[in-house]
Parts: sequence; C-alpha cells; structure tokens
Amino acid sequence: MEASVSLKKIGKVLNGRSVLAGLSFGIERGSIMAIVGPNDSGKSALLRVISGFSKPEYGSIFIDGKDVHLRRLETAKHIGYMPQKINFDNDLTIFENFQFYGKIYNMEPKMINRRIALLSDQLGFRHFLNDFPFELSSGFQKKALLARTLLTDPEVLLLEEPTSSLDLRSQYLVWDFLQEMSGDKTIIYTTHSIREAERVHDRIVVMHHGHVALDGALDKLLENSGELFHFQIHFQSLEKEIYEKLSKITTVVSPSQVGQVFDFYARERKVFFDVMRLAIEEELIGYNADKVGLETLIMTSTEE
Amino acid sequence: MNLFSAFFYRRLVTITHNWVGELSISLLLPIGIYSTLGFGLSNSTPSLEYFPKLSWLIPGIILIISFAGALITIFNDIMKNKRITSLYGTLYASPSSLATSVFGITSSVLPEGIARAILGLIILEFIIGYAFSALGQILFLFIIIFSTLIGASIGLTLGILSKNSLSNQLVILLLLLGLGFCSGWFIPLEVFPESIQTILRILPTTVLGECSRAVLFGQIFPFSLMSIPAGTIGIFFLLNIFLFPIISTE
Repeated sequence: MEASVSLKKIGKVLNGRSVLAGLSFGIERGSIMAIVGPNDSGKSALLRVISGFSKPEYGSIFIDGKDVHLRRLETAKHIGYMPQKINFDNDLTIFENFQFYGKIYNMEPKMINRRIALLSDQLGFRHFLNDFPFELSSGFQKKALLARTLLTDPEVLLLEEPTSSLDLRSQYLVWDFLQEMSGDKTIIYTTHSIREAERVHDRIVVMHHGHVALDGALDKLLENSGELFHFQIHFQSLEKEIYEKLSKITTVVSPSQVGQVFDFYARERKVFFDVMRLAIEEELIGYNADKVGLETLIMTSTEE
Repeated sequence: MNLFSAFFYRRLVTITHNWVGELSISLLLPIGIYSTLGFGLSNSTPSLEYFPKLSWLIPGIILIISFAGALITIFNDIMKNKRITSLYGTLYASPSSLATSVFGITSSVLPEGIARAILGLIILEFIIGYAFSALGQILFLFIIIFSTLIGASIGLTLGILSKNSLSNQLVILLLLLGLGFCSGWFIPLEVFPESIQTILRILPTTVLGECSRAVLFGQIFPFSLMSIPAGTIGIFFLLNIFLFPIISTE
C-alpha cells in the first residue's frame, strides 16, 4: 500500500537530550499504528513532530509526499493532532471552542455546526456542548478533545493516549468509532495500555530512548521472538550464590533477581526444568511460566 | 481573514461571558481617568479657544484606553495560553501562515478598541457638555485604529518575550504611565526640556496625540507624520512574525 506518512531520519533534541534519534519509517494509508514504550521514550515527541507542533532538528516528514515543514500550509489541513493534555480555552464553552477551532481551519459555519452535531452525538457529549471545559469530567473533556480533532475531518489522525481517563465503555465506544473510520484515515496513537495496543492495531511500534526498538504486527513480533518463554521462580530466600549458579545455565536468557524472585527467559520449556533441578534443594514458594506476550516483548526490548 | 474572524469570535464570546465586568470597565474607565487627570492636571492643561478647557484631555484619555486595552488584553491572553493550553501551537499546526496568525491576533481587538473609544467619547462629551464635529470624531476613530494596533502589537511582543507575568505587569504599568505623559496625552510636551521635546515629538504615540487634537479641534497638522505610527505597526508586525514561533513551536 501507498505510504501516507513517511519519516526520513527524524531527529529531535530537547534540553540537550536526544528524544528522537534518526527515525525512518513509512505508515500506510488507512492503517492504525500503536506506539508504545516507557515514559520519555519519545512517543509524544514523535507525534508532535509529525503534527508540526514541534520542529525536528534534522530529517524530513512527508504527508502524501509533501514535506510537512516546507509545505506546512498544504499538509496541515490533512493532519488532526490530539494532545495528551486537554487544551481547551476555559473562557469558551465546548461549542465555542469547536467554533473557534473550525474558524482557524477556515471551515464554513454551516459545516462546523453539522460536524459538531454529528460528532457530539456519536461520542455522546451533546448535552455538554454549552458547558465550559472545566465543568466537565476528564472523560468527557477527552471525548470532546477527540471530537475537536475530528472536526476538520483530517486524513491523518495523531492521537496521544486517546482513551486515558475514559471508562471501559467509553474506551470501546471511542475505538469502535475510530476503527470504523480507519479505512479512510491513517491513525497513529500512543498508549500505555498494552491491552489496547494488542486489540487495536495494524502495526505496533515499541519506542525506547528515541529509537524504534520493535516494529511490526503483533503476530509477527511474537513470531520473531522465536517462541520465547518467560519464567519466574519465587524462593523463600534467594541467596547470591544460588542466583549466580542458576544464571550460569547457558540456555537461560536475560536472568535477573527481583527481590526473592529469579526472573528469566528461555527458548524452550525444558530450560525451566533444568533450573528447577538445580534449585530443588532450596525452599520454593511458587513459580510462574508464560509464553511471551507484547508486555514481555516491550519489557525485554526496552531493558536498560 | 479566517484568523481575524476566529480570534474576533473568541474575543466576542469572552466579552459576552464577562459582559458585566467589561461594560463596567468601559463605562467607568473614561470617567475615572478624566476625574483623576482633571483634578490633578487642570492647571497645566492648555486653554483652547471655543472649546471647554478640559476638552484638551479627551483625546489623550481615549487614546490611552484603546492603547492600554489592546496591550493588556493581548499580553494577558498570550501569558495565559502560551504554555498552559498550547493554543498557539494549535494555531501553528493549522494551515495558517505566521503573518496571518500575527495579523489575526493583533487585529482581533480592533473592534472592541473602537467600541470602547466611541463609548468613552460619548461619556466624556456628555461630562464636558460639548460635542466635537462629526467629521472630527470620524477621523479620530481612524487614529484610534492606529493606537489599538500599536498597543496590540506591543502586547504580543511583550507576551512572547515574557517569562513572568507578574513582573511584566509592573513593566506594562510603567510603560503606560510613561507613554501617557511622555507622548503629551495628559500634559503638554512643552513642560519637558527642549532637547527632550525633540525626541518625544517623533514618538508614534506623540504623533497620534497631536493628530487627534488636530482633527478634533480643527488645528493644522502635517498628516505625513502619520507615517511614523504606520511604520511602527509595520515594524512590530515583522518583529512579531519573527518571534511568534517562540510560543507556537518547540
């Protein structure tokens, strides 16, 4: 498929620290990309740079082949950016905020009113249109913010944690609504919810220290992890010498000690029994064995 | 024009929500300034033939109201929104050029500046019991446009460059007082030493004051001097285009 958004060696430095380190990739038109990663990994910086809110120190971003920063006036109307922080003007009601936003984008008054009615109905906040933003709960503010982003019917949606502070029902409502549109629109969103990223994506990007640590569809990522298993063995008391003895088993991957828990990965299930055989003389409290999921993939790929 | 329309709409609804406060200020400010200056400066006010003595103060009062109103409104708005709501980031990310953004913000206070001036003029004419000629008042409103735009432009520049709202409010207060006196809006320039008068006479605000008196009192004035305030607006416009990315992008 044709790339809707392309990044070429994008680099961003904030306060002398590199928050995006030469990122290059393309995002297909009409696809949904989930960006996950620990705090300060560069997720928000990436969206802000694509949206034009923030200028990169080097590199280029293209929307439909047009450079976002060189042809800003042409590309800006195709982009809808929803920041993580609610940024309504508290002196205006929600309706007036929408009107102001629509006017900035040179929309016809009739079209603004039609879009406000449609979006507020679909996202269920029509009764709050004449309230001031600070009078609404954070969940309704978030829904209104999403609706404001959609007001101009942009082709590319950049959403920073679109469902944070929403209740479960609203999260489903929002994602059902967004997924209905995903064929026409390219959606790039950041989230801290692994479950959300697993459920809603065509592609997942795991970011770490401004780099892309993992990139692909969940099935592909898990397949590439080569049937990795995650084990945790809880000891009554995990002494240093036992930990070192167990860590030295050659088939044990990324061992670590978390309190009294010996945490490790392995390519095969039988490694667990090798470890247990050596630990059998110690007093054990319990154990946990999992096939690696996205959460573990993120943890391992973003390890310091 | 879409950004003028957007920012004017925003100002209009903000005023509508706070109409009691806005109307009170618009009504009381001219009376308050007139009373203070009239009592305090009546001896230094020049006498005008055919006009009530204190009518000399009226152009200066209206000019300071439009100038300060625009400056304070824009400054406060920038200080409030530049970091907290990232409003200006939204503007930068919209399909609007820097020039139209700066024009939209500064010109959005023009209608309210003119409205305040008309209201102030009516109130002060009522107080002194004298109405200026219709033509003089219409021409005076054109000068108010210059005064409002200069105030708004300075408010935008200060707002962009300011880090601390509180300390800059003091700077603004001193700036307004200084300009009011040094531009001959409240006291005649003749009270200053001659060497300083030469400099003060070419201040854009002084030109606005002199021109206002000329149109209201039917005096002779070289209107080519209006190129000074017009040039000032142009310079601030370019400066603000250059500075605007400071508050709108990272």
